[in-house]
Amino acid sequence: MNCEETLILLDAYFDNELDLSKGIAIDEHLSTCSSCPFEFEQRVALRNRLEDLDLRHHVPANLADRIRQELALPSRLKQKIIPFPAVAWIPAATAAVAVFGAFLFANIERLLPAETSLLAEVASDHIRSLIGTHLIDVESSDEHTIKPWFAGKVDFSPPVLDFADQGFKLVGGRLDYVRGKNVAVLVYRFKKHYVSLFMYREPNSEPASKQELLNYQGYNLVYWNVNGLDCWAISDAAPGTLLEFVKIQQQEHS
Amino acid sequence: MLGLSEKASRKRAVTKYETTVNQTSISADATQPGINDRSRSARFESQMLPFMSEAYNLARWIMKDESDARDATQDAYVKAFRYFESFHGDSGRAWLLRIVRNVCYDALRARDSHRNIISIDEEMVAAAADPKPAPNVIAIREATQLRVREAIEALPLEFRTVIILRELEGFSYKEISGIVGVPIGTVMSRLSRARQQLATLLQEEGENE
Repeated sequence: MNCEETLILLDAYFDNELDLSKGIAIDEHLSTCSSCPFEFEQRVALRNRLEDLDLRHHVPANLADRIRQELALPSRLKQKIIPFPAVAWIPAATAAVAVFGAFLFANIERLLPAETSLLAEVASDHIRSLIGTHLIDVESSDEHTIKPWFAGKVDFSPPVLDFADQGFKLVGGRLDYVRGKNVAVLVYRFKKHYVSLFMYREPNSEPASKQELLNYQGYNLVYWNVNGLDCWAISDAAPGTLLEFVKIQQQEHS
Repeated sequence: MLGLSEKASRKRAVTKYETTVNQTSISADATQPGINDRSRSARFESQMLPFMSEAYNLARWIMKDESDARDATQDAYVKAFRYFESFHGDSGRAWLLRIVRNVCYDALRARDSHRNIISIDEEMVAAAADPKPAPNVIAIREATQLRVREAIEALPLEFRTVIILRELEGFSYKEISGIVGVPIGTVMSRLSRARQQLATLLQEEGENE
């Protein structure tokens, strides 16, 4: 393959859209050419830069409401958004905080019985892992490194799969605690976002027929249950992205 | 901004749709939403509303204006709801974004038929392969967020659209081809040109400092 042909196919090569034989032909050309590798490097640099920056535009506050109204949809999802009170309450007197805190907690309980404290635990674990240094205990993209690492630490063998091809790169695993027991957490990276996948055995859980998208402090969470395992995926990635992640996980586990 | 007449026609369209649904509804009481309506709404809600972030992001990048992007996102959802029966595929994200893209392009055409819509001569792609002074990789690596945003906004519409779909949303060429409505080969050539232009823009801005 010469330079002209290579440059025409270079983007498809870079985007992993070429068939194997053409890909190999370009590999060969790039290893011998003196100018084409620079073109390739430029694309790598561009993608890395775009990934590192926060280029997404975020949905304006009341747009979702406007759309629901226009379509006459009930504002169901909105009720499930659980407010994070901490900052708002700080100026209030301590006693008032206690009283109102209790009130708010009761409110949350009404919205999402039983699951809220669990939701808060999962979310706090994820948030703590991002702030602190406890994102990953075992750093690896290798399924066969991470899986044995959990042996003896949790009471089941978690399914460990890398989905780098679909954009979700496995970066490691960690041990966390939810409801006082050890849970296996797999950490994935999607562009700039981390996704934590919490798994623990819950024999009493009803198999959830469908997953639910929840929101807590701006983080999106999805809960589902498969083969006696309770699973929580949480991330600050867009809800659609998280749902894709869950779909991929469910396809592999079922 | 969408013209007043267009907003009015959107309103009319929605009203008309609701009338149709009520007529075909199995509910005996025309004032009560039927079971079909409710389950349809519920399906739409769970399959389409989660992609609002992607829908708005694309609209905002295409329209380059917050208010126009809000209108376009809303219009797209109204359209998606109306044509929801025609969604059979597995990627709701791609289906919705195709509608968003179309609504945005229509709105742009209405807004300004000369300035924003450029027609792309696909033959130009061949010219892009000509040797040119190659942009500096360091300029790309060090470009600030603001500079990159401005460079993307400065791209011609068709290039901007494929860059957003590929680099921000991670769609495959096949999916982009479906969303944009052009062959896969065209997606490839547009992306190639878009990347080269973006690299050049970042380089030029770097030199102006």
